[in-house]
Amino acid sequence: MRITTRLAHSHSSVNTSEQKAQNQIKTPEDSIQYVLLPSNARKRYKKLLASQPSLEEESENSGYNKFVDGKDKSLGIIVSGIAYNYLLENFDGGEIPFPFIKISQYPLPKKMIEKLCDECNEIMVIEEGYPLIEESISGLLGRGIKVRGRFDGSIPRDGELNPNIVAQALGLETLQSNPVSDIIVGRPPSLCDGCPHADTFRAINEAMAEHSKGRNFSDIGCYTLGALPPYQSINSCVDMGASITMAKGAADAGLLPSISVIGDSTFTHSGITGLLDAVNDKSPITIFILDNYTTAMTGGQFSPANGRIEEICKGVGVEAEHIRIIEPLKKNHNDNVRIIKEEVAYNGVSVIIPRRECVVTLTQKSKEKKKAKQ
Amino acid sequence: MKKDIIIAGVGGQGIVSIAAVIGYASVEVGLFLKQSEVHGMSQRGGEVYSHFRLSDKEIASDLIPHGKADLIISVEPMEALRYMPMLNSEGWVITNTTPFINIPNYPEVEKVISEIKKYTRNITVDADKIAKVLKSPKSANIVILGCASPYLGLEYGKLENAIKLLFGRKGEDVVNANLAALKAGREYKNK
Repeated sequence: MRITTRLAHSHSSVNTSEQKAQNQIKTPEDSIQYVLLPSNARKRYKKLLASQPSLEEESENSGYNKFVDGKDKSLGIIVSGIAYNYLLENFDGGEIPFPFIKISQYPLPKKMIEKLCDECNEIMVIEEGYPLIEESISGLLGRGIKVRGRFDGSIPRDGELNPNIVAQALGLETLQSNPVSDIIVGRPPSLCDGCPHADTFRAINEAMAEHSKGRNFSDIGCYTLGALPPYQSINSCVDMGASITMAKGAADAGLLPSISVIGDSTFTHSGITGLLDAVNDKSPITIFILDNYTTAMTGGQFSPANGRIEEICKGVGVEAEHIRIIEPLKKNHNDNVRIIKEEVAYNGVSVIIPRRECVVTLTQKSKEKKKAKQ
Repeated sequence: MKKDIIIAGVGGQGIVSIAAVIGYASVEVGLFLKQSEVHGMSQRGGEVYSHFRLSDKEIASDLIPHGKADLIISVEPMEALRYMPMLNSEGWVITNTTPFINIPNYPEVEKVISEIKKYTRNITVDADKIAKVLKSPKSANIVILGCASPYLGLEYGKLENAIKLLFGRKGEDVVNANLAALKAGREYKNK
């Protein structure tokens, strides 16, 4: 399934039917088929290649990929996913005048695409996100027919599609719309009022002020907003766990000090391995594990290491005296800055755990308590 | 019957709840609907919108094309103004007048309101004030929905059912507060 942002953020009513029974539990007949030893992997790859013709056959005939004829052969359209919804919208959900193929299954149905090319003067590919189909068919065809889409600029090379972009690409008239008022300003997301991360970033910024910028490697969570004003505290967010490993890499390469910021639940997801690596190499980094007792960004779910973060760090080998707990509050600011400076100066792995509950879950809980009392 | 609605506001103002009430009501009467919005980290104090489409026929696009929205329902005035390019020439804008100022460069509120009033089909209401009078300050979003209720093409009673369904698990008090907010918004509109 090729998930795109808009698809992931859309809801609709659905038709329900009776639930299918769960599949029976069955282990593979060939007991080493999932053991990818090189000798086995070579065998499996041959098998995969051998299944390709039947997959291609399936793709032409399963009914998921549809060739729909149209009267106007000046253009043939290849469309997939949510882009199909936008195409249809431009014809009021009715008949589309051009022949088109709706792609819903891979591999691409080569025969269908060749038929479309035989019949039409030009091909246009409309797909959300990266132009995967467009790129694939240029190799598939090799016959000099003009393919329009994201590569030739008929559709912008980047960014999300919408019905208006599809209308423009097809040369359909789009409506005149109201102008954008020039008094409107942007409203970027920000940390909540009273968020513990805000106090942590203020303390980090002050403690690190004596060093040049660009040393704080972070991760994905609410605290990624620490990249924006007024904090501008963090300098990276790549993938879960990349905070600790990138700080380690930077420190090993000579960027001293290097620090890292990771949330409590991201730490359990993929921070522990990086921490172990840093401990083994005695890399001089300071790691902030922001403990707000929850997985805040996704709505306050359980955080898997709740109450055990220090124990995990000790177990991985961080020295007990370099595991420091701070409470990120304004009144503790000076103490917190001092503690951060001490640990940043330490020539080894330090973990600082700024610990205070997320204000959103705290408010929810206090409401529930109030209610229980009533 | 077809209604294309932009629901707008700032993260935390209850945009998703407005969408959910209209959604439940639409499902109850058997309409097709499509809804698309932003949520997650992007909502924390940032601009939030929902594209909400309902129709008695199958709906193609998840996004409303520019210039095609029948309604803008906004819990915040500048956010209402932001989506004006989405509105069609016959469309209504229904907005709260209480600004949510969490940025240093928020424009003058009077200017924002007068820009909105350039569109003749507008309803501006101080929903925060009405919600405070009702002693339920968090239901300003449902007050706005009440103001918009005559334009939705849905029976009022279906919206009430939807509120009962949506807020039911939060207890009777929350349900009643939101029903009162819906009614107050509806009455404001009829005044």
